[in-house]
Amino acid sequence: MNNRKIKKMIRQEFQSVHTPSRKNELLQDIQYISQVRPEDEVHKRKIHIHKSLSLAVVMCMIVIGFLFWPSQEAYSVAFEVNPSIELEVNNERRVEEVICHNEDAVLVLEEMDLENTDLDVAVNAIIGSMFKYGYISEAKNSVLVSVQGQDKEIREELKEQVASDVKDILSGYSLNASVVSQDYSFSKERQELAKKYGISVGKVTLIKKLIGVSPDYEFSDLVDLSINDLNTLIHYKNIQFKTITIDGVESHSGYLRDEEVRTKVLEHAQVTLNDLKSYEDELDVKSNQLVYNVNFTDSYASYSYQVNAISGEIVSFDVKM
Amino acid sequence: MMLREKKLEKLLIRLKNETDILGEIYDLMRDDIYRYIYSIAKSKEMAQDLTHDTFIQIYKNIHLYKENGHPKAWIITISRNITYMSFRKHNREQVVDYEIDDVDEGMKDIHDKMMIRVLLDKLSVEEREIIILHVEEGLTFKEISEIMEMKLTTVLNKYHRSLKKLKKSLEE
Repeated sequence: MNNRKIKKMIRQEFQSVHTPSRKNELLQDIQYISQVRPEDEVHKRKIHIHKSLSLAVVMCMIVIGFLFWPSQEAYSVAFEVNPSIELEVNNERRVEEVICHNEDAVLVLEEMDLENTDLDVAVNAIIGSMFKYGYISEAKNSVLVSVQGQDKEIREELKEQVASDVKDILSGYSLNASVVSQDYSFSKERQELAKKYGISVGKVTLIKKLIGVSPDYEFSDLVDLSINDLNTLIHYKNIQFKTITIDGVESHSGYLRDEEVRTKVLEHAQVTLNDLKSYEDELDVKSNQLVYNVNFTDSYASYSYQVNAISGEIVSFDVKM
Repeated sequence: MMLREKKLEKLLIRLKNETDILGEIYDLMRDDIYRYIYSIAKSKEMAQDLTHDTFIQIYKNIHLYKENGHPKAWIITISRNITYMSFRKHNREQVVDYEIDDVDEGMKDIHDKMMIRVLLDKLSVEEREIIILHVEEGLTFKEISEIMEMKLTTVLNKYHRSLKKLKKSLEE
């Protein structure tokens, strides 16, 4: 029985459960009950504040105690495309736990039971399902593989093996993927950032490394970009990381080409190609979207444009005579 | 926003000034609330009483409702608070997880349903809540995480595990 059938059965059975109406009793009851007025609530809240403060102090002490308690670290292998899935693996490279980081991950994993399976079997199933559901395609071919654990040697070995498996699996679907792989040890700061923004630690790590070499960006500028967008940005800015391996070229088919951008801005400014004195464009990020910054001049003015790299929408423009 | 949700939101807004509207809200929502409370309490009588109490609280606290497109989530939050408050008040935590065999005659009609029986028997209270709220009540995982005061990833993982448990139990 698959999940769809289970859900259908739950709906069918619960839909046939009814409770007898006690509407008359309810309508009679409310005749003797007055509605709470907003000013009553304000008074109640003031009284509760003292109790809440004491409780907060106790809770803080528990949390602080918990944070400083020594913890055992397991190896985890995480995959991020848009679905974000993390596998906890043991020394025998068998999956001990599967963690979904977003709703897309639930869809990808819905019909699977990966606990106690070999890591390579799990990788095959996850990547195959991401492909089947269209999360990985010709236009979105970047996959981020992140390995977290204590021993650097084991991490690197796991990373290489999984990244190579992902590449091979997608080759089997005739897709030339771009696999971005990285490894790291546990970091409380990154864990908290992941929690704050609702993304995986792997994506946090990738963004932090990108900001490390491009300090003009703020973390919040990049947080909503897809892995393919981040991969494109890294490629475009020709950034080389020591600790990140990128195998394969990311797809650009979802983005506007340079010529398309040029046609768009020239049409908008009503400038012909022959009138151009200078022209340059650069891929950049604005409000969590990839944009082209375009600057050009003709005999009469200088023009600055920002164009969304995916939709082609002109985000902003300025003309100086 | 679904039509039913839109209608519910309009009714809740009207309830602030027209007390008779409560009857319409009751007709629209009573089965949903009953099923949800039943999935937590596993007691028909208790679910009926707490469903009644939920509507009393909706009436009393309607001034707190803010038009935000999530009227069902607001009502579910009230019914959840009432249910857990009732457990605490009557110290009935043990009753929450009693065996299906202890069910009285009056509940047989519900327990004859295989999926409901497995759901009540095999899943924890939290797992049952997540499954019912998502599959039966149609709430989003984000709404559920807010109602249950859990991280979104925790809700997603509990949901995923619960479906696996149900599948396994049905295949046994």
